[in-house]
Amino acid sequence: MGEGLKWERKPGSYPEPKIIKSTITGEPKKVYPPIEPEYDSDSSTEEDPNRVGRIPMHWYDDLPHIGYDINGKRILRPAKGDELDKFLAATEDPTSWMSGFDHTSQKDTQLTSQELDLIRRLQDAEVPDASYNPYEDTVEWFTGEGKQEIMPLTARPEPKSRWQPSKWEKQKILKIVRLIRAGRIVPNKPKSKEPQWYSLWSTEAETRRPPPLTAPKVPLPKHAESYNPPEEYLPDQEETEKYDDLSDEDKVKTYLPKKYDSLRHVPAYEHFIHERQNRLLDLYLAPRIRRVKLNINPDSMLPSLPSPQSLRPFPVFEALKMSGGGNSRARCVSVSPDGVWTVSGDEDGIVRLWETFVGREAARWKLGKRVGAVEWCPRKDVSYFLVGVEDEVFAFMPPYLPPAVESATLDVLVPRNPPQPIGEQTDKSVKWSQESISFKQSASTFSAPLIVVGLPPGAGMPKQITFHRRGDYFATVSSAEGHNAIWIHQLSKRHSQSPFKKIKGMIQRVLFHPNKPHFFVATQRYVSIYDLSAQKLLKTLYTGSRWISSMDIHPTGDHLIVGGYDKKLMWFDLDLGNKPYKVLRYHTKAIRSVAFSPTYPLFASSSDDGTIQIFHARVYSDLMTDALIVPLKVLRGHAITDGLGVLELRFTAGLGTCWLVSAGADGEVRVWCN
Amino acid sequence: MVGLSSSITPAELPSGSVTAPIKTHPVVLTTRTQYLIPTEKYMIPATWRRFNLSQLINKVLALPQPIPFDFIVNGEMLRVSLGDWCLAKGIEEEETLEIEYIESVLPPERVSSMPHPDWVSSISCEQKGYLLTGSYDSTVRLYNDGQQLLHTIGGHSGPVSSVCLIPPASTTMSDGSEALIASASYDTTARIVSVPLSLPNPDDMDPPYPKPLASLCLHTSAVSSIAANVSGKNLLTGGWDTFIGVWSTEIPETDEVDEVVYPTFDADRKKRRKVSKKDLNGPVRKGPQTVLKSHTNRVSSVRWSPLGKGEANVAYSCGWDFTVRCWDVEAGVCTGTLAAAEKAMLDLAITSNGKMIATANGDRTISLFQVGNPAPPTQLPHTSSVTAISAHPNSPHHVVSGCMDGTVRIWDLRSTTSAVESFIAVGDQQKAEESKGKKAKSKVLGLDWSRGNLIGCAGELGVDVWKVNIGN
Repeated sequence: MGEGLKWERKPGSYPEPKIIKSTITGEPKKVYPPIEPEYDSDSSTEEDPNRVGRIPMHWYDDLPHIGYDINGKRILRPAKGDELDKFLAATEDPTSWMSGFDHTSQKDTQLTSQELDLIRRLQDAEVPDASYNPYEDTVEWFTGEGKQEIMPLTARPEPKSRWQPSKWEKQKILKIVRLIRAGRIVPNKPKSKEPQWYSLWSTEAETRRPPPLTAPKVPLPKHAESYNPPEEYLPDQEETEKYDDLSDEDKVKTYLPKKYDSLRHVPAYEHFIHERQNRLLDLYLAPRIRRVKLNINPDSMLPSLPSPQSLRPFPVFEALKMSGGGNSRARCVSVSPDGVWTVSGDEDGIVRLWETFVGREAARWKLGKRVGAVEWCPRKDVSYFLVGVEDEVFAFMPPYLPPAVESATLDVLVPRNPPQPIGEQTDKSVKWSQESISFKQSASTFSAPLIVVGLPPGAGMPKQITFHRRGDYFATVSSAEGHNAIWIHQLSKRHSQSPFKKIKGMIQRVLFHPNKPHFFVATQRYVSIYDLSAQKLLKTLYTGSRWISSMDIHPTGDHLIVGGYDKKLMWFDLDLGNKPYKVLRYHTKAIRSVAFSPTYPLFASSSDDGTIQIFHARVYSDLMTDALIVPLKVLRGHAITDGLGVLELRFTAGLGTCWLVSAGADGEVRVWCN
Repeated sequence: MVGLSSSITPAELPSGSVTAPIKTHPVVLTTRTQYLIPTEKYMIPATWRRFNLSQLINKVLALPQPIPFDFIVNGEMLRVSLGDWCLAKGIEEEETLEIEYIESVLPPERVSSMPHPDWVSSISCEQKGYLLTGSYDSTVRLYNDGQQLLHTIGGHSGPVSSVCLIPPASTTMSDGSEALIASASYDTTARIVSVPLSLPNPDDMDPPYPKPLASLCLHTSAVSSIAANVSGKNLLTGGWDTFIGVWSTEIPETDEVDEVVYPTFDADRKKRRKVSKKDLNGPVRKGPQTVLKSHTNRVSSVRWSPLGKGEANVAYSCGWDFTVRCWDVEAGVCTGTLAAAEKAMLDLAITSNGKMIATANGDRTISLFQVGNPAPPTQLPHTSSVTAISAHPNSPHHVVSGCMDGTVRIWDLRSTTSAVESFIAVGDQQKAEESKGKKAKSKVLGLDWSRGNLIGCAGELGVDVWKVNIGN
């Protein structure tokens, strides 16, 4: 606006507006000059500046003051001399040529010598800053000895590709040409026209939108709505007054029954217009759309598990701590089938027999070799246990047995006429020998091993001994590779055999099926199930674990849990294929041992993180229902020693209670009670 | 002891004589002891504690020797100030409180300590002046008052699980110089032994040694408990084979039961039964009068009813099948079953009035049953598995219990929220000092409160006798 206009700038007064004709409206209008910012507008260094603001000072020309200060007080105009004073000042004062009239403060202000110098420099077109030296000495940054630059920066020749036709483009074009020739690309192909109509009545379209809501049924008219209602419906005087007193919101009915002599006398419906309006408002404000709002509570996505309180009993506290006194690790533990005795073996070669409920050490055997496994015979009528040490398996008998049990046990272990090995089948590499002492005193029976099974040399330490349910067969798993790793022994015939001539990988664990002639063999990654009677492989379970550490089978024989050194626990439903039904990962370190409770729906796992975790595991005989697994309790107590935690655990049986016995790397055997 | 010369001098404070700023509470003090005070309503300052209340009663009674009292409000021992208690329970200031006072149980003191070479499983101090212990080294030991070991009775081939003293029956001749001792063992038998109650004379060439009288043959598994009734005519044994045997204490002339000889290596390989020749010095093999069969799992403890003549045929047993059973011994039938779900019962005690049964449970609780009331029991908490429990011989309210971590608690059954007293019954002092650190874990395996103020605690480190004064 107003680019072509010029204003006379009278010092001390604001220029008058110019009246021009607007190019847009064609009407005359006032145009003010643009406000120009003054040089050095920062006046903070001035002593007593005029703070009236940037207003045209000529507004106050007729007034005695020149504005207002911040407190609203008038600022009086400074005294101004007349023309004679000015003349006298110009002649007498030698500095009067240096002063000028300041419009804001409305008085003469004397310019300083710096300001005069600045004006002079501007007039001479010099650099205004006096301190600036335009003729400074050059500093030779890039010239001179050792500072020469070789230009250009890179002497690389222009690449050939810059001036050669592109091969890639040629290929692309050739491809297009080939497609055009083949008729795959048709230039200027007319677009196919879709029909622009749609079937109004087709049922297909209706499926896309929600079905229309049917209007609610209008209730049938009542007697009270009749033009000639029965007498009892008619309101009396009091009821009418009461109805009229009610506000519209409180009225249950919108009408009062009225009696007319005949239908001819019935007037028009008085609320007709009002109701129509309300109806329209309803339609406008509340359109009839069925909103399907997806409202999912995140908690409802979690499986609903029963509370642990309702799943009692399960082991919750440490009742006993049985410590052998040594520092060596308690490697293995086993509980007798009647729950009375707990046997534990440690790495110093000491096997200890504890009374499970009292924690008293009843007997102790020093074997001198590292104990790898102990296992109690599951038979109820006899009582003995096996201990696996380097290359050998020993059978021992606990003390204080009832005479009947003691006699039966001796009958099994050291019969008078030991069965002779059956010629050809016997593998000569396993040697059976029985103690030939005469048993005069029953107290001495437990001091020496009753049977010694010498495994073939190089078999190494048995790391697991497991019994068949009937207690006649037992299997040992050694740390050796090849066919020496697994031996199945038959006690009654003093016969041992290696079931697999050749087996790949290291055997970790084996198990007998509780009620079928099946045999489970866990290698590092897989669990193979063999049928012992048919002598064939039934199934291979893919655990997904990288290194299996332990395995146990449910008492029903339909479910298998497998623990791994990679912290995972796999639950297999043996009817459900060869992948785990559930993979649980809750331990922070490698799982060492897993065990099912023989009587209660529980299983437990122990780990190198020093904890034992108890789970409720209910299985259903109904094939359609999956097993229910509920985490119940974390038992802490075993100290982690050399990175090892709880090495083995067993549930007690035969007591009606679900106690748990665990052996830890801290050399302690603990009993956990419900 | 409560001193009356304390700076707080509680006067009898009938209502209205209290200055305004002190908050008071209307209280009626009742008691079932002999120390009765007038049943008036007292305005008790809310800041008062047990000590002040006890002083008040002592002042009212003007007893020559002050007696400390404990106070039970709504079945709970008063342990804080009255005002704090009302605040915690949300009881209004105007509400009249009925407070029952009982004589305090004084802190127990160790009287004596008897070291044993092995763990002690049970203790009995029924005979005045004598102490009987059964140990895991298969022996029974008899001590006298002066902690002198009178006799060490062997004969068992397994650990002794329970001992009891058969009171001298009125029918048998008894001059008090001999005692009959019954002991049960893991070797499936129980034995009755006659023991002279005197110190064996070292100069005597033929000292009166313990004479084995009978061996009780019924159980096929360990015998866990044995108990004699008040008249001394009958014995009860409970075993791990779920049976309870009832025996008379009369010693037969000849063996009642044939010995079953199991084949060993010197015999031929057929099982056979034979009638053993009577060993003249050996005990007579004795058969049971009745066998009580109802338990479905091990029997852990059997007890006769303490009422004696009133209920001479009544016995109680508990076991690992989570039940307490009441027996009519003469008829040999189970007359009642009290059950507590999933609680393995390790011991049993019946209060002296025969109305309450307390069982020691493996799950850190004590179950308190009313006799004849099948309602779920009251639970008293403990710190570990409770292994032993015993009731006071005279007071119907006091029970002592011991657990696996060595804690012994004394309970007043009128107040079931917390124990009255608690102490750690370490067995042998020397052994405890040697095995420092394990001190707190010396298990208590047997308790007996038979002799009034003395509690015998048997455990891992031996036997301790504690003196507890529960008042009259």
